[in-house]
Amino acid sequence: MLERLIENWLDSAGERSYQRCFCQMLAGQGFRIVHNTEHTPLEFGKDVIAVSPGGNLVGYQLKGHPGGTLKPRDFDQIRGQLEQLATLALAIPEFAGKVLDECYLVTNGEIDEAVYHQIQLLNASLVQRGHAPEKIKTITRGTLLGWAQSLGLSLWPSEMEDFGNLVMLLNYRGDEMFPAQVLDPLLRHTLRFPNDVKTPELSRRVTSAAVMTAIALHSFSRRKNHFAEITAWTMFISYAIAAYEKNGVDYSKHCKEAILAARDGIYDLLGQLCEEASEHGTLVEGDPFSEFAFYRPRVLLISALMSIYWMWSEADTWRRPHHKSLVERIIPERLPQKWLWGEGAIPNFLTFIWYRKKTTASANHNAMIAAVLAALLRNKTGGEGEPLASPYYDAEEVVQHQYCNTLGCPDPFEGDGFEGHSYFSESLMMCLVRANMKQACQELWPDFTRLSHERIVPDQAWQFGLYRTGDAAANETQIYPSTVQWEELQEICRDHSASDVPDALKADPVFLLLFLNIFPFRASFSAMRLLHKEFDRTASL
Amino acid sequence: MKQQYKFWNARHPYPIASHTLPVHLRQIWIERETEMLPDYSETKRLFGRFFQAYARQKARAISPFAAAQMRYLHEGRGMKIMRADESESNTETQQFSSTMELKFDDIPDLTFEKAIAKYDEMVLDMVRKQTGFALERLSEDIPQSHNVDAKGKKLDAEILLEMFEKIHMEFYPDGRPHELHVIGGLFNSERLNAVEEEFQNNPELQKRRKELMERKKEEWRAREADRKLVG
Repeated sequence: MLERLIENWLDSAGERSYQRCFCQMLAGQGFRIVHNTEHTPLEFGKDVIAVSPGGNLVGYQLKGHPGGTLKPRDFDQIRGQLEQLATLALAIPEFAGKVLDECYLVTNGEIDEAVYHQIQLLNASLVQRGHAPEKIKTITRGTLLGWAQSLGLSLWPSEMEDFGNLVMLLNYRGDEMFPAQVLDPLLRHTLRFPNDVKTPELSRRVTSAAVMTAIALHSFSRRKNHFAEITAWTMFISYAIAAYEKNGVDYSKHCKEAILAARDGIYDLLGQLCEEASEHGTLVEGDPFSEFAFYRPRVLLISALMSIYWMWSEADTWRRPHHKSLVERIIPERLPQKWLWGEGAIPNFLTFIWYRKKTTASANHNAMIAAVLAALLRNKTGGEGEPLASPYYDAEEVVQHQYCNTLGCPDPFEGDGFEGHSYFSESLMMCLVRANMKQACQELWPDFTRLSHERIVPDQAWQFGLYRTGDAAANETQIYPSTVQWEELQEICRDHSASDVPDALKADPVFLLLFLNIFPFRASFSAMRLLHKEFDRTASL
Repeated sequence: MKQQYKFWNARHPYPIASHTLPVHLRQIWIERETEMLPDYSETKRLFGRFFQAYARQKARAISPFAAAQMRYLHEGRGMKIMRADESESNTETQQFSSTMELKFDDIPDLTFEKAIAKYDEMVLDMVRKQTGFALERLSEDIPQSHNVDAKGKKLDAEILLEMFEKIHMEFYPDGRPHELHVIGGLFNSERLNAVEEEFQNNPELQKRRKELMERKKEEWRAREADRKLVG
């Protein structure tokens, strides 16, 4: 049944949606991906370039013929690209001036006999120009299916429940928020969290989990739901890191390629989001009459994602330099009114502020943080409006709660209450303390001490990367003393050791920031102190 | 100053909310390989949803801890509270179960009202178990210095004054005390009315209560004024 499921996926996947899976399958075979681009103008026919386990430089030109055959007329259009692939020297710094040792034309369909003949002729002409024989080879549907089955399916969990979850993911329309709770058990079971797993098996399982993630995303990729794809690949990375940390293995030595390929994929998705947001000129989606409930959360989300894209590119490099000005145009100077839909919005807000601090020097940034903390404290101490939802609820659930009678849906908040406690007041207070805003902190302090400050602390750091820790964590409530010395508070805020965060995530702050924007319930006081230290260089502590 | 009695003080620094977990229902379905007759499953699903919501709301309505704020634990095995005085307490979550029995022989005469009555029985049992557990945990968590031993006596003005003396009282900014939440056999409405009458008929007790409440208010003001970030 699962074989049929993979076939269905491959036979309907476009070039873009199988490229990420293809890279993961190469990584699973020991290849090192050195170039993975999704249609930049500078690709010169090279979608993917990898170094084989034997040290050969291999280039791949990917084409999508889902359920079809590459015909001679299609080949006419790509012959030039193939020739470029085989003959042009690379412009990648590490391999500048080198020519590929092997080239592959990859399709998820079949290749017509006449096309094979033309490839032979092309190879013969390349030999005459001094290239190796059989320089251009092909990878077709059958090979891809074989890889997907040996590298992916063979290690998938075979329980009926898991099969049901995979089918459920494939049956989504694709325009929803990505259902992390459905992918969670699939990844857990594939990576065998309850068991100890030896390194070679773990590496195979990570590839298998990557193939599963790509397939599970099929509906979302088809709808070009970039945020859903970013969410799923973020989960894949955090779960793979968790699996390695749990088994005491250094991931950078054993599955770095799988994680880097997924990370590259996320970067590309942020780039695609940037281009589409610029082209559309509006952030409105679908039925405009219902947008009154969703537009503001979406503006906040895109501002945070683009801020991450900007900070990521500044830290590494802008792979598409023209995106820099696009991003700067997309991110607004000010957030829309009433953006604070719940505590889950606060990582988005802080990410936006840290971006603004990097691009524009202004005292207003810290004043905005103070205003948000003041509003949050008023709200949570019973002074203003219904208490804001905890970060376990997303914007959609908040809207469902607000309009449950109108919509006739169950209330997602039933059995929960939010007054008197907060998950983010400590982090916001920390930002102000580190900015040396003593007077603002003093004014806010009385309300701050009236609240219980909440955080979830996993028993072991590797569990931090999971969507849910199950019983393996404690819900900690901190009640602050009424009177505290400023120096004492500074000392609390100074710490950025983030002992509850795995080392591999601490070493990749941009990814950690993205992870916490997607899963705000993991944005503990400890993790936020670490990120603030990394991204707000204006702070004095 | 007249005190309004309800249940336990929901803002007490020894939260009990985590113990009063929402009611989750797990039903056993009658499974068949084949459907002899239609199951009307779509409508039954709607009824199922209704019964679940009804049971949760009913449990909340009849719980003596209804006024306490409820928290849903999305993950983690329990709660750890770290207080301002550096004391800590750990609470593990506890699972309660209750069985609801419906005999095949009952089904021909089953009505909607009777089905609801079955749920009511189950909810009552669950709430009883939850309440017992919450009281047990409260007894464990509350320091001895905050306890008053009634020594088997009925509630009277002296016990109440001793209680007021020991508890941490909060006030609204306009000076009204927060409602106190009381629970247990000692605090039935008959006794509470009798105690109030005892106060009304005894000016000395009234004076003591007034002075005590003034002192409590002063303590509260001092605590509030103490909320300072200094240095």
